[in-house]
Amino acid sequence: MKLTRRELGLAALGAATTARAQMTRPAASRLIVFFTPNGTVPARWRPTGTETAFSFGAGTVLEPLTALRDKLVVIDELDFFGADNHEGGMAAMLTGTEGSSGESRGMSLDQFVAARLNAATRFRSIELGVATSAWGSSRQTRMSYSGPGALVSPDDDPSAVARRVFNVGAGSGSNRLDRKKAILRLNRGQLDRMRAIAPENEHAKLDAHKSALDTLEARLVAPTGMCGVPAIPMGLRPQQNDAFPQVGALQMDLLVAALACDATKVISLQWSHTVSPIVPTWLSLNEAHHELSHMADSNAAGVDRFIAAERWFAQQFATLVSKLEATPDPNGGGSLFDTSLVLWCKEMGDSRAHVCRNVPMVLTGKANGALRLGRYLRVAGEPHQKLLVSLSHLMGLDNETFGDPTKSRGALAGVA
Amino acid sequence: MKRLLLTLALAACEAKIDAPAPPMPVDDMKPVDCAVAPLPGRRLRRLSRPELVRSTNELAAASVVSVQALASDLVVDGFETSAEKLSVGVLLADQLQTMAESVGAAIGQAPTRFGGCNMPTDACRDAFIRALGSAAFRRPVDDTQLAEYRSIYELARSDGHGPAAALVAEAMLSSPFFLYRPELGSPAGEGQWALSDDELASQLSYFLTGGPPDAQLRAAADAKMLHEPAQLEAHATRLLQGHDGLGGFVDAWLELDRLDTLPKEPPVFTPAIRAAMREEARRYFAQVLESGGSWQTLLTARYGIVDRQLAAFYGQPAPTGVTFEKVDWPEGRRTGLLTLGALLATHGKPSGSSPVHRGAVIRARMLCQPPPPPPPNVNATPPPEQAGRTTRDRFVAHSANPSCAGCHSMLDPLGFALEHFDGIGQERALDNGLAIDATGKLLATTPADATFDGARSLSEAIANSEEGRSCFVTQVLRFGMGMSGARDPFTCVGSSVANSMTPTTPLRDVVLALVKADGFRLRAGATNGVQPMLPPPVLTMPMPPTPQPMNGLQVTRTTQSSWPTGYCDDVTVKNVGTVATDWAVELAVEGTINNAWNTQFTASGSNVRFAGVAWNSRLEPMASAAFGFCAMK
Repeated sequence: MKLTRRELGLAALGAATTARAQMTRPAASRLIVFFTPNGTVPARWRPTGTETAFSFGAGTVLEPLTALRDKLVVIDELDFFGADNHEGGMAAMLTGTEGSSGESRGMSLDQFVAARLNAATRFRSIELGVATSAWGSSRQTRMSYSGPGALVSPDDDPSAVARRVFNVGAGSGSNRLDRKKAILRLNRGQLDRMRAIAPENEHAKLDAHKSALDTLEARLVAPTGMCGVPAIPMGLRPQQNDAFPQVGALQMDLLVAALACDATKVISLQWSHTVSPIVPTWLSLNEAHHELSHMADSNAAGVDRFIAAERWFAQQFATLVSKLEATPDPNGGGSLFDTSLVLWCKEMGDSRAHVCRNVPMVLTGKANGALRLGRYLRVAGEPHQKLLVSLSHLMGLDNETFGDPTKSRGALAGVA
Repeated sequence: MKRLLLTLALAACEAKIDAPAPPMPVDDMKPVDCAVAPLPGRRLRRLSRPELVRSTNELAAASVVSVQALASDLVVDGFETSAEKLSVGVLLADQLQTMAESVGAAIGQAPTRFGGCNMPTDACRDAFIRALGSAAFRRPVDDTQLAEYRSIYELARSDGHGPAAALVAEAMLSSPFFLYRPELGSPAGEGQWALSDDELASQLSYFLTGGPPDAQLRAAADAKMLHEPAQLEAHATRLLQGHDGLGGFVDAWLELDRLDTLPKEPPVFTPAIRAAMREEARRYFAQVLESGGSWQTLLTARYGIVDRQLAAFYGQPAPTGVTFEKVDWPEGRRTGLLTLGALLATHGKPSGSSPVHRGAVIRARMLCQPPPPPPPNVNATPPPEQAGRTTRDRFVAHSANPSCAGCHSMLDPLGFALEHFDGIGQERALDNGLAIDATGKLLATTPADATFDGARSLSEAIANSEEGRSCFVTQVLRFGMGMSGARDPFTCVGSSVANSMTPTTPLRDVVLALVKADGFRLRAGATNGVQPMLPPPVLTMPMPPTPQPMNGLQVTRTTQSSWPTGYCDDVTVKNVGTVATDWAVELAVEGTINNAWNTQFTASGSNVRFAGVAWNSRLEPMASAAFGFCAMK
C-alpha cells in the first residue's frame, strides 16, 4: 500500500540525511525526469571518443544533441542487475530494485526525492505523460512508484494539467476556496465514518483516499500570480496517435511553466511506455514503436526506421533543454537549466534482445554547479542503482543505497 | 478451474507479443481453499472508471464525463476492476473533484429534477438533498448525511437554490458514499454477513448493467424485499433483458476500447467504421445473452448486429432499416465472436493482420492461458515482409524452430485460423496474392488437440473446450465482481458454476447462477461473538429525535447501527440561540468509545463531553454540526 504523507514525513524526519550534503556542496534545486521507451540499438546510440573528447556520429541517435554536447553527461553501459525485459526494466529503472525496502522504500527516484525534499510547493511532484494510459496502469505502463507496488499515474491530458497546476478554468469568487475546503472536510469526515464500519483490510484504501484529500486541500491556495500558462488548443484529443507530437510539445511547455511558477521541485515527463504501440506517423512510419524496436541488424532499413524514431525523441529532449535555458528559475540562481538536474532515462539496453544491460542514460542541467558537464562515461556494467544514488546526492540527499541495499551500495564514480 | 501454465521450454524465441501486462507480483499466489474459505470477504468497492462515468452521467442526465478524463486503474488479471486494488490516489481525487464540480454546476442549472422545486426554502433544500442523495448514494439519505449536506447548502444559500444545490451536488459526487459501494452486510452468524437490500441492489445493477439501480430495483430495496431469493432472481432476469450486455464487459474482456485510437493505414477504416464495430460487439454480446444463447452460440452464431455502413464494409447483406439490426451471414467465413470486426482490427497491426497478437488474445482472454513474455537475450526480430510469402509463411518459423515452439505453437495457429480476415476485419480470399492456409491444432485444451481449418472450426473447438467456458465465467467475475488473484474466494463461486456449465448452457443461466450463489449475497468476516440477526437488520435505525436544548444547543442523537456488543451513534448539534458559539455537549454514553469522528471527546463521569474540531467548532446561529462515535458495551 501507499505510504501516507504522515509516514513519509516521519521518514524524512527520521533519516538524518538531507542537511549534510547541502551544507558541504552545491545541489540541484529541481529534478526533471524524461523517459522514452523501448530501449535502443546501442551501436547506433553510442558516442565515440573519450570522457571529455567525444562526438555523436552521423546518423546516430544522439546526433541531434550535437550542439548541446558540452552540456551533457552521457552515461553508457549501466546494468539493471536482476531485472530484464520490458516490464522488469520499466519497474527497476527508477526504483533500483522493484518492490524493495531499504533506504528508498520502494519509491522511484522522482517520488523519493520529492518525499525527501518535502518542499512547501503546491505540488510535491508532478507527473506528466504522453499517451501512457490506453492499456491501464501496470508495471508495463508506469515508471513512478510511491512505495512497493504503488504506481503513480501521470496525467496525459495537457488541458487537465493546465487546470490542475495553473487553475485555468477554475471558478473564481471570493468564497470558492472556502467552499471547496468545506467539501473536502466533509468528505474526510465521511471517510472516517466509513472506516469505522469497514473491515480492517479496507482501512489502507480509505486512509490513502483521505491522505489524497489532505494533499488536495494543501493545494487549495489562491492561484499563482503571473506565470505564463501555455494556451491549450480546444478539441485536442490527447489519446489519438497522431496527436502524440503536439501533446508532447504542450506537456514540455507545461513542465517548464510549472517550474517557472515554482509549482513543484520534481517533475517527470513520460513519453508512452515500454512495448509502446505508438506509430510515428509524423515520421511517415507505419509500424508501432515496439515493432520498430525489434529490427534485427540484418534488416538495415528496418533499423534505420527505428533510429529515425529514436532521433525524434532526441530532438524533443534538445527542445526541452533549450526551453529550460531560456526560462529563469523563479527562486533565482539563473535559468532553470542552471538550477535543475535533468535525467533522460531508458528501461532497456538493446531492445532486440529484451535485456537491461548496456542501458544508456543522459544527464543535463547545471544542478547549481553540482554536475560537471560535457562528459561521456562508460561505466562498464556498474549497477544503475549507483546512478540513482548519485542523482540523489546531486539533489542534496545522502542516501547510500537505492533499491535493494544488498545488491549495490554507494554512488557511481565520476558522476557528481 | 483448470488453469494451464505455459511452460517455457525455450531458449530462443523470435516473436514479441504485445501481451497484456503480467499481473503485479502478489504476496500470496496460493489459490484459496474453497472447502475452508468459500465466501468473499466484506469489502468496499470503489466504482470502476466505466461505472463512475455511467453513474455520473445518469445523475447529470447528459454525457458530461468520459473514461479518459480519469486516471487509469491498476490492471490485475487483465482488468481494471479489481475490488481489492481500486482506490483513490491524488490524481484521481483531483480529477473526481473537477468532475464533481462540473456535474454539480450542470445539476444546479436545472435543480428541479431532484426534489421538484427551485426555491431556497428549508423544504426545497431537504427535498433536493434527499432526492439527489438517494440517487447518488444508492440508498436513502440518513440523518447524519442530511445534516451534513444542509450545512453545505447553507454555505451558498444566499446565492439562491440553484447555486446551493450545485454545491451540494458537487459535495455528493465527490463523497465516499458515491465513490464506494459497500459490501459489508450485517452479521448472519458463523462468520457470515448478509448484504443489505441496498447493497444487493447496487451489486446486482452494476454487475448486470454497469450502472446504478433503476427505480424498480430501488423500490424493491426500499421495501426490504431484495434479499429474498425469488425477488433477486426476478430482478436479475428483468435486468438481463435490458440490452446492457453486462455493462461493457465485452469491451474490457477483448480490449476493444483500444480500437478508437489505434492507427490503421487503410483510409476506408474511418472513425465511423471503428465506432460501428464497437457498437456491433456490444450489441452482439447483449443479443446472445438476452436470446438465451450459450457459449457455443457466442462463438459460432452466423449473424451480426450491424448497420448499413458496417454491413457494406463486411460485404454482407444490408439490414432493412437504418439502425443496427440482426443480419444473418449467408455467405463467407464470418462466425461469432472471433470474427467481430472490432476484435480482428484491435488485435491486428496498423498495416496487416497479426497471427501472434490474435493468437495471444484468444489464449489470454478466451482460454485464460496468458502467454509469458519472451525470455531475455534472444533474437526477438519479427520476420520481414516479403513479396511471394503469406503472413503465415513469415511466422511459421516460430513453430518450426524447436526453441520457440513451446510458446508459439500455442499462439500462432489460433491466429492463422483468422488469416481470411485482414488487419481491418475485412474478409479476403488471398493473402499477398497467395492462397491462405488456415489449418491448425488447438493445443493444451480439453478435449485435446482439436484440429481446425479457419475461423469456424476454431470457434467450434473453443466452444467445446472446458477451458473456454470456465474462462468465460472467470472473466465475467473479474470484470463484474472485481475478482482478482488466485486467492480470491470468488474463484470458488466461479468453479462451482463453471463445473455445471456445458457448451450449450444459456449464458443467461450462467449469469443467474452467479447471482444465486451464496457468494453473491453473503460475505465472510469475523463476527466477534455477534449473534446472528435474521432477517438482515436495517443498517439505519432512526430513533425519534430527542431535542434537548443545552446552552442554546439543540442535540439530535440517532443510532446509526447497533449490535449486541456495540453501537454507533450520529449526533447533530444545532445552535438555536442568537449568537455564534463554540459548541460542546455532554451526553450519556453506554460502554467505551472506540471510534469518533468530527469531534474531540473527554470522559466526564458517566458522561462524555463532546466538542468540535477545527472546522466545525464555531456555530453561527441556526447552523449545525454533525459528529458521531462508536462504542463497545
